[in-house]
Amino acid sequence: MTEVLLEAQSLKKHFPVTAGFILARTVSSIKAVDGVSFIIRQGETLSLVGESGCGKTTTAKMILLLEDPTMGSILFRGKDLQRLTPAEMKEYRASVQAVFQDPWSSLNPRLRVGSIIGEPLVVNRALPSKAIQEQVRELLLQVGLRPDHDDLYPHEFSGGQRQRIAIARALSLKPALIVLDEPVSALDVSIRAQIMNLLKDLQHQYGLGYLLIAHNLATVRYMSHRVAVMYLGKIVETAQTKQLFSHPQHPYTRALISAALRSRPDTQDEEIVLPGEVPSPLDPPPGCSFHPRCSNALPLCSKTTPVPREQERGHWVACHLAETLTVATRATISAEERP
Amino acid sequence: MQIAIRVPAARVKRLVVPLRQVPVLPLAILLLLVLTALLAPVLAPGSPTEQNLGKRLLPPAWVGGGSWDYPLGTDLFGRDILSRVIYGARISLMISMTAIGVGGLFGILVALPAGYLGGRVDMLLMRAVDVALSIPTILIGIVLAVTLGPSYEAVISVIVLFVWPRYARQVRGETLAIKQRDFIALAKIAGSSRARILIVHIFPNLVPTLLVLSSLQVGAAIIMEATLSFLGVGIPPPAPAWGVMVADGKDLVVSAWWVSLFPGIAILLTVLSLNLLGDWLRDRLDPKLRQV
Repeated sequence: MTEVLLEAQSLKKHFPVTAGFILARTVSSIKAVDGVSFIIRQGETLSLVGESGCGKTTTAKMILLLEDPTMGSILFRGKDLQRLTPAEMKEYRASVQAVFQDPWSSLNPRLRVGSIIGEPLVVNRALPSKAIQEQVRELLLQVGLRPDHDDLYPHEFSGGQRQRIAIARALSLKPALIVLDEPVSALDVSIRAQIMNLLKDLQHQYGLGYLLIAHNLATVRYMSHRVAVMYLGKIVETAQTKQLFSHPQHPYTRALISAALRSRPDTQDEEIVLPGEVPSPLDPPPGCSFHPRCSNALPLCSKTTPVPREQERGHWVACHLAETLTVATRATISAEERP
Repeated sequence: MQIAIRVPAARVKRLVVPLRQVPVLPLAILLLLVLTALLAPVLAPGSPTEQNLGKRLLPPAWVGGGSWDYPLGTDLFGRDILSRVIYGARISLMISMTAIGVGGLFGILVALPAGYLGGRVDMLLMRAVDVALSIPTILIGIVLAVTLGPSYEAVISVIVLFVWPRYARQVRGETLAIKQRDFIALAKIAGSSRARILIVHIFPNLVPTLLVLSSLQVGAAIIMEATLSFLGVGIPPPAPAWGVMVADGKDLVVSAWWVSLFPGIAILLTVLSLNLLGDWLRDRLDPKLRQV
């Protein structure tokens, strides 16, 4: 088995809700991420899926050190981030890079492309500017742009090209892990496949680990090795991609997959429509946070929070009824089909 | 054998396209103003302060009774109006530039930490800005002039007091907006220091705002200086400030209209040109509009 790159151990992020103007006091907290654990191996793509507000992006921000976890820990190559020396911390920062959703906001409009891609090198590596320029040109070639694009400004590029520039920048420090926060959802459908293929090629070439955050199930299915489904700040199900899409076990995952567009419109599948709304993370329901919307809920579900249990090898489900509900679920989308 | 010569078409376009839309007239007027201020001793036909009581209130040369020795006529003390208007450009430019420089710098220094750090720092600094905005600056100018006597320093201080909170408010808002953009988060992820983020990522994105704001505020500063001078609490006479000159002629508009008309035109043209240039700069420097 390949090396575990990053491990999240019951990560929590609670945002305080304050009242009062000058002497603010905390009245309650929004549990944006409420005990999330997962691992990412070298060369592997783990996807976090779930609807907006379920805590995917907050989880990514904690890994990128943009937010401090309220509780829990992040281990990088087996070492707790809180115990790293400053030098090791610097190395961690360099090893974990990111590509964001909006290529219009992720490139500084006042810098030339060469400076944008070269910035991580300038900050982290003591290199002469000539060497940095060489590396930047190399990176531009790798992401499918021309080396002489380095002295243009971002506004001279299209959305897809800008996303390639963002990828080149993320690659510049030869990271081990790249957080991809909705990397293709702002792009035209015709460009998406190109960018996804570029990301996959780079992964093969460098053995990159990806943490992919997406809500488009087709993207997730195409890109990832494993998928973790999030609901209201918790991971409810984790499995290999194929396994998850063919045998979803958690009632929420089933509803999510049944709501996705079929690649064959003629196939008939009953769509599971969830009643009600996502509860507020300010005041999540007791027990299993999904129980108010679950058609199979038992009295137990509103009392005890289900612990994730391994149903099959690598397939974890946080549901009291996982065993009883394992009726053969139909494979809704065949495994060969890809977007 | 083929030799490929790379023509950076995009770069050529970058230079050519904006030239077509340059507001030529306002730029020409402002250039003329700056040159006039710099070369005042060469250009002015006479002294701006020398009185010649025998030649009081001579009309402009092209009006009956005028003379080409005094192309724009003379004022109540027989001083040459053209020379005074020319020297007045010096005063207006010097006062407004100094005040904008000091006020703008101070405003930026307050606004950058407020916008970037946020929280309590932001609240305290912005309340100070609110206080500064609610100060009646003209009144302060009058009080200063009455207690300490009118002086250049007093005028500059009053304009600084007027200008800095406007810079602070604008720059802080802009900083808040820039801070939210993804390239700031990505700079942090890449390990950039706070100073680097402020200097490389935030400040250059403020430059368009600062240029637009400054071109408009210079106009406001010139008006402020003229207002104070007109009220007699600005530039002390006999210095040829445009505001003073307009005030000198205010009782004579019917009999000797030229005394206040020409300095008035100078103020109008300068401020109008600055405002037109400011509008153009705003359109030109917004990178989103630029690519169209």
